Amino acid sequence: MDEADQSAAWVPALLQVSDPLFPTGAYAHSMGLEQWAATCGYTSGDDLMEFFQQHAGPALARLELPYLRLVRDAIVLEDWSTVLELDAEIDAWKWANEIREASISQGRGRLRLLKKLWKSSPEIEIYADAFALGQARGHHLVVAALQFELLKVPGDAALMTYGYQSLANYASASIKLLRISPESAQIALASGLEQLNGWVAASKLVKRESAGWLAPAFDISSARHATAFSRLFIS
Amino acid sequence: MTESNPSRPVRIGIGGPVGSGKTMLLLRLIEKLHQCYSLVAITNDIYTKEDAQFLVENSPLEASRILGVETGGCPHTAIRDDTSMNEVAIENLIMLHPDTQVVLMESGGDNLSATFSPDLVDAFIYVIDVAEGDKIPRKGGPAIRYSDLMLINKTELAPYVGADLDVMARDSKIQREERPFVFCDLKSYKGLDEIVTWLEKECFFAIKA
Amino acid sequence: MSVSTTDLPPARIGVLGGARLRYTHALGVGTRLTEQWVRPPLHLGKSYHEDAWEISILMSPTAGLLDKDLLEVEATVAAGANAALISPAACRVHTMDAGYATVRQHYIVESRAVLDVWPAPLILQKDASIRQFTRLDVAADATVLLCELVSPGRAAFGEAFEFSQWNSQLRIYRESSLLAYENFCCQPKHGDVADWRALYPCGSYASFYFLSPEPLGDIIQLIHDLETPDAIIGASPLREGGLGIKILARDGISLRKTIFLVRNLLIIKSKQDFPQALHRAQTYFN
Repeated sequence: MDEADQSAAWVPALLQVSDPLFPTGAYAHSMGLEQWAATCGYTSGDDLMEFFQQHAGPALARLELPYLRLVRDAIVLEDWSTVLELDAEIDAWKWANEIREASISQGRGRLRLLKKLWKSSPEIEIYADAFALGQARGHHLVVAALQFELLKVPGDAALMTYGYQSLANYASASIKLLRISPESAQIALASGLEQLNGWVAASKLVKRESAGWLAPAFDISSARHATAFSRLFIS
Repeated sequence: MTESNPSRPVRIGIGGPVGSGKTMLLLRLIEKLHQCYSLVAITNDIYTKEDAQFLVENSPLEASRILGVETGGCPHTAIRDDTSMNEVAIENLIMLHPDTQVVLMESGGDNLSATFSPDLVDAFIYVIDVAEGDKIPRKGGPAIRYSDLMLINKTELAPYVGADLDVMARDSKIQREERPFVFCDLKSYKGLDEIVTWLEKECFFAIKA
Repeated sequence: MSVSTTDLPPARIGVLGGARLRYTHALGVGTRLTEQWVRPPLHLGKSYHEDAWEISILMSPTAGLLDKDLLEVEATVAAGANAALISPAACRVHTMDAGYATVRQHYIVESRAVLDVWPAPLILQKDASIRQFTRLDVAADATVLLCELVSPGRAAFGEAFEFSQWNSQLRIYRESSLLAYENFCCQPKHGDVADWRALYPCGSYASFYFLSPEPLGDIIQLIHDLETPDAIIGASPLREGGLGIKILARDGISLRKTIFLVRNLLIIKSKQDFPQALHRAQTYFN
């Protein structure tokens, strides 16, 4: 195998852990889209594109991706107290309970399987032990950062992958919620992915003290999902 | 059936179409087994935790041993393709009750093709009922063919819905070959002893040992 | 024509206002403001006593906040004391050529104490820029209602979302553990808060935190039931010991009405007797 081949050695494993088949329970969550789509009357692929543009993308750029980068930086430095501090901060800024619990549920699901796949990883052990002791919250962002670091996925590729997963999860949920065709969902996803590079670039400029995002109507809608009369998704 | 692992509680999955009597089976098993074994029960519901609430209110099992898992719109995914939510639910219950010997897990009501992952449960009971029509066993599918035990429930209703039990028995034998099936009416406890005998012989032997 | 620096108006020096307050409970007396330090232009009105409560009226600078202004408020409610901080008038953040005003608040609520922070709205005027930092440290058995109201402009002039920048950071610690964290920089001219503006183009916003040792029960459903076409409400449990509530309303009046109804529910849930003197709060509505 030559040098060029080796430089992409992380790709198959990254594809595996990013695949929708990787069982983390993500299929059961719309991460706020269900109630928001009902509130806004979304019915089309164009509506999904608007959602990416106005909410999902900016939230990635200003909140989620900066935290993913910060957690990973702390893991690289083996600064576990900062990892746990960031985990607690993520827990505290996830305002809607269902979305907070969805993040933990997916984080735990991913951690469980990574422990089985990568038995010799001390980093996974350290974090899993902290979780078992109640010192870590188990948020999906933190487990994802661990996974990207263990696979040595380059920084931008990790941010892109996480961004792709977020948008793809919304696109997948939209087929049921907006009752759009899979083709329409893919067209909307492609439009979101075209902008992902910009959101990733913007996220890299965000420092910890300024990482954050205000979307009060979306937050209200996400909270109301918990008492909605009928629903297809857990969040 | 997968081999029993003595280091973990025996896990029994209960699947079947909507309204076939899965929750009633769970209730009856709890009533029958809770004094002999340390049980926990998990119910999967699509939108609510209603089945878990039903068990809390009606079964003799303490509330902390019953957990409702809301699966969202894909109940079959939660028991077969992505079982992580149910695995976490089992972990949580065992953390609370380390003496657990048996996990009873009811899936959300689904179609004839839903089956449990062999990693999630050790044995899988599939519940259908006569009111769905006596053609159901003939339709086959992985659950009717390969479940470890199949129950044909609500036999008392057969005369009222025009279901021919002989036809159902004939088709079940064809589809399942040597695999067992039991006619039952769980509301009136008919067939329950036979189900428990099968469970103790085929699934709980490691506990007894 | 060259302009010498001496021709320029002198740079404005910001005002540094502040208050440090401590409320203490004494047997047979109730709660008293036992320590106070206030620096103008912040003004502390005469306190009211009612049953076990001390109600303080804290007034913002009448002129509002300008570039470089800094307000710092620190209030400690000692064990078993009951205190309310209200204000009779809105706090305006004025038009600024550059720079920003800063507001820092720190509330410490000790064991079995009760604190009710019910301010008037912050009005973010055209080209205004403000940085807020709020910290709440609360004991597990204390009760807190912490409310913040924001108007995105001077509604009477049809001004909305013309402010320059609204930065806000809120940290709530329960027994030293981080329970809630809000952090954002909102710049309407860059398309921020599109969701809020699409719903109510001149709407007002309120954010509540309710900390209580009492079980939440069905309070979330009861709060959600208060929603009307003029005000949407979301309530969500915190990890432990309370809930967060967000309200967006079509206008200031709808916001005040909704806050009044939400507060009534929270007060019942808190199992605390709240004083009548809170009627003096600017946003009281009945």
